[in-house]
Amino acid sequence: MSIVEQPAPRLTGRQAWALVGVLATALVAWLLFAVWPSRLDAILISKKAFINSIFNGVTLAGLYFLVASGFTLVFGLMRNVNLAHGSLYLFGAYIGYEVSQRTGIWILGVGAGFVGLAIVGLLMQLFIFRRLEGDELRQTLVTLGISIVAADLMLAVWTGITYQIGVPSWLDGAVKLPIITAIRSNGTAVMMTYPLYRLVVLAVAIIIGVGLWLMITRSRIGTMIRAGVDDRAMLSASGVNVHIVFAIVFAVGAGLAGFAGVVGGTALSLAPGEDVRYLLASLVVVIVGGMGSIPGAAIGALLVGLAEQLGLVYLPTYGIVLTFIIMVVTLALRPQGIMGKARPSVAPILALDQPNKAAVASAQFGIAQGVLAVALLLYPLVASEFFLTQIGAYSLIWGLLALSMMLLAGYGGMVSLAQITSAGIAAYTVAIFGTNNMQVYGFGWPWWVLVPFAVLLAAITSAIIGAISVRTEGIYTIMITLAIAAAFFYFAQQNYALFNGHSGFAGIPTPHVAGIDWRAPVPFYYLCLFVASACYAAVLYCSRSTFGLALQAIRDNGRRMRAVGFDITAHKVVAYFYSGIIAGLAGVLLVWFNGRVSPGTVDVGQSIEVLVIAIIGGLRHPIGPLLGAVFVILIQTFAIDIVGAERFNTLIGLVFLAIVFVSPDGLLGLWARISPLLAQESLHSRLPGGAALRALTQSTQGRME
Amino acid sequence: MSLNRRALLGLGLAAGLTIPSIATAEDTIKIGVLATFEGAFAVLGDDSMRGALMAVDDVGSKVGGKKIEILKGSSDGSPDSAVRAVRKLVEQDGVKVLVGPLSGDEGLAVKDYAKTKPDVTIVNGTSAAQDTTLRDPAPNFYRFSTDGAQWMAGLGDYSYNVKGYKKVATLAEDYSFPYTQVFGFMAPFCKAGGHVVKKFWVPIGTKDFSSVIAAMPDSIDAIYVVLGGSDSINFLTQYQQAGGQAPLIGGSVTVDQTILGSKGKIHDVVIGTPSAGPIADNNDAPAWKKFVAAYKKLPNAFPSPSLFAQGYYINMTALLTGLQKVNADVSDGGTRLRTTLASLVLETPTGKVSLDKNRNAIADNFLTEVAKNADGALYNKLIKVIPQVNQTLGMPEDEFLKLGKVGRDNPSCP
Repeated sequence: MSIVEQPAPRLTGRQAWALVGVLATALVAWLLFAVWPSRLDAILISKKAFINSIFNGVTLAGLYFLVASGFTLVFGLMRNVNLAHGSLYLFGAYIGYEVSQRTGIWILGVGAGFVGLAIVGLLMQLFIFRRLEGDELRQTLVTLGISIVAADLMLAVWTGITYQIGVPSWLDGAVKLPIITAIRSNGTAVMMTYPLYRLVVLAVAIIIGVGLWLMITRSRIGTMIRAGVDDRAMLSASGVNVHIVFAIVFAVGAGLAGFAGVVGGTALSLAPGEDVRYLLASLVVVIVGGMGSIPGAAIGALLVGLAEQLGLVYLPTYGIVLTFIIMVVTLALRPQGIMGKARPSVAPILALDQPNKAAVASAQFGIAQGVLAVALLLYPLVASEFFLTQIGAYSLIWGLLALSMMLLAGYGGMVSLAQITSAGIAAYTVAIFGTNNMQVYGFGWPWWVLVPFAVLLAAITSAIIGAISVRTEGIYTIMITLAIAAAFFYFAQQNYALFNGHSGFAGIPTPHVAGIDWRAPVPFYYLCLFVASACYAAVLYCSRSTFGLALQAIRDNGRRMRAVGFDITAHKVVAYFYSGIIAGLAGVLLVWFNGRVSPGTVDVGQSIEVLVIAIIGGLRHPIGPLLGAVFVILIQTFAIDIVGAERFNTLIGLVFLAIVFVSPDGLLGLWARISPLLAQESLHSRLPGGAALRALTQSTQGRME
Repeated sequence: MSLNRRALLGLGLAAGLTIPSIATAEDTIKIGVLATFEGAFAVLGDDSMRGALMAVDDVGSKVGGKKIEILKGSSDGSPDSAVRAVRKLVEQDGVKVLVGPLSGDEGLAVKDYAKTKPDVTIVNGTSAAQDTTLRDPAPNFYRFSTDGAQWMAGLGDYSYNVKGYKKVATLAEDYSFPYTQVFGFMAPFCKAGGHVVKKFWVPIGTKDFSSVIAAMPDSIDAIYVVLGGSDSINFLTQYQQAGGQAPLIGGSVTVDQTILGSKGKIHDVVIGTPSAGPIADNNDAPAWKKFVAAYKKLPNAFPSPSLFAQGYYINMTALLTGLQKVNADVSDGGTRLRTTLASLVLETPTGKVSLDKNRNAIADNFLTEVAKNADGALYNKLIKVIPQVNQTLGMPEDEFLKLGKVGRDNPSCP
């Protein structure tokens, strides 16, 4: 072949990316070092504002990386979503504050934060997580309980005051950077100054990041960690003491969180609420970057940090939702994250004991159910107005929310924390399209159009959330739905056009139908009871229907079902739709109950409360969520009389932890264990129908596998 | 399990839960105190309780010959929890008079609840949203403390005329209380001829203001900042670190005692910052000094009473004065008590307080400026007392209402 006939050289893929890289670097260099034309200045406010935002974003990313790296390490290896990671951050910060205050030496505070939390992490791994090994959902729930209790105890010790860890003098002050921000009228250039401390934080984050990456890819222990991520059983079989590796990793992860706490608490202050903030940030960083990947955490942190700072300046209203949008887009395009490995869906080969699975429930209408039904119907006769609405109706509403979660979690194996979002959509729909006293919207639609419409919107929302989350499994689902719920909360808070922002809507009336004011205590109670019973019956029926059985089969072995020809995704999304109907009904009742809806109704705390209620009640039978609701609402209402208002969160957290440890099936599981003991000396055999009663007792204990 | 045992258990539980609260003796009167005793704002709730209890102490814990029983209602700052807490007080504990709530949004929600219970008399705690009394007020909700816009009385004028700031930018969090404060500052400032070239609204909970500080326009004379507590400390630290040149104007909680007392280099940026609010730390008035002395004796008290202690003190004093005048008799559904309250004129540690036709307070406001005392410590020096500010800030009511509800873009004078 002669030279003239050779094909014209084209760029390979790699060369094309390299060219893009060079052009991008050139552009960035020009942006940084050149003096901007005034048009560019006008669009981006000013060069000073833009460059500062970029620098702030990158330094903030350094901080986020420090926090998230521990989180991703722990998850990558031990498949443990540590929802107490934010609490570790805050605790480390408080320790660092105390030490640096008392000794006057900042570095000691930093060291104390790292070492202290490493010890805490070690203890947590040894005494708590080791016992729950293999049961990832339970581990996650335990971390949730720990975070609730820890947040409240820290509040008790350090109160709500803000603390500022002082920047040490050798890191204080600003440095001049060789970047021109403006030209004065006399021609001299104004150079940019930037706080030294932030640059140091960035440098430390880079050093630690590189160090971690080197440890994981080059050292022996890193090899063990990576082997454990891929196949834990094999690692154990090859003679490595897996438990020591786990302990080290958890200690390092927790220590990093504590270290980040002290460093972050010096740059920004410490106050309660920082734990939730950094937990959410870690979640988004790790989801975007990819689980278990250190470079992924770096990329994710960079994206999140830049989005946050640029959003603050250029999109002040919705900048805060930008981070969550990035997360949703990443999930849609690449569910495993940017640097994550696409894991094949692992079908459990061994039938692990997962007591949280709901079984096909007995729908026998036995005597016990009859007594309960009659008691519920006659409740208004004995209860005061307060107990009827604040305890009775309120428990039924929260029970409904928890029931919608139970449908997905118990029968579908998908723990979604976004039920409150669907309920919130229904509530806001009633506010906007019905009547309210804020002089914002309020189209006055009649209830018989409004309620079905609101419930439909809630169900569609739930289906959309399901469609986004269905590509994830197990623990990922919890994280993603939590992030979606948080995103909706922030959006509702910032958006005045539709949601009326922080104030929300008030003055929402319950309709008068057939001459009855349905918000009066007795009618409202019966309304809630009717809706709850209907949904309860529907869920029971669903569990035994073809759809429900298919859903449970998908929960148990999705691959097998796919092989048989079922459309897994469609089934799961439809399950979300049904749960959205129940959540929507709960949302309508809730907005009628409160007469108002605001972002506070759908915040992260409420989202977690639905989970707490569902777990405390028990996920194995639809009556569980309703029981759990009564239990939690009672404690909440009367805690002020028992322990004083201040520490009731600790009480709830401890109860939750006790339930998760002792009886993962919640109160139902406890009952199932106690009732055979009580049944010993009964008159069973002598009463007519005793056999039926015995069968009823046994069926609620055992699982029909 | 036999039917008998299970049923008995269930019935026993139900019975135990529905036993109504024990009937009170004839010679006590229950007064509810509703504040944020949960969560991060519990510190403020505690100070509010101190103020309320000081008022109860003043009358010797007795009113109209009856002993006072204080019942606590706890919220976490959210309107839903405030309504739940007040419901428990009214419907479960049988309270007929109460003082609260603490925060603005809670006040709006409790006002709505008050309308559903016409025989209960609710006196505000420190909630300072304008619309609680200005628009659609409840006939049984009384506010003897001023609202967030009234707290800014005098500042807009002072900034324009005395400090000479013609062009300012504002920085505040994106929700109702800062909207009200910005409104209270801007209404007189714009009227005097000032310009607010840019408004920065940051999301609630923002901790890092450095990017916003870098985006401040260079042509402004001052920055009006409405941030509280930790956010204010963060901002001031970051402002100082960024070498911010423009002087500051403070909202009612931006340069209070806790912030001035914090360690760090913020002294340089904060000296000379004017602010306004319902209290002034070094007010010379003898009644205030007596109040501060009594406050300092309480356990865990701050160095100086916060506006939460003062607000709850005044409101509780008003309620107790009213109750005394009707001999603590609310058996008529509180009608006589409410008539008495509406026409009450009080002398308080911060001056004379009376009510307008919407049952909102007309009271003095205090203009302060941050100064350094002889020891080098910072304090809020009292510049001027703005006497008897009403809810419409001195404007005729219809003109004031025409200004519209507070919001992100209202008012506007670029």
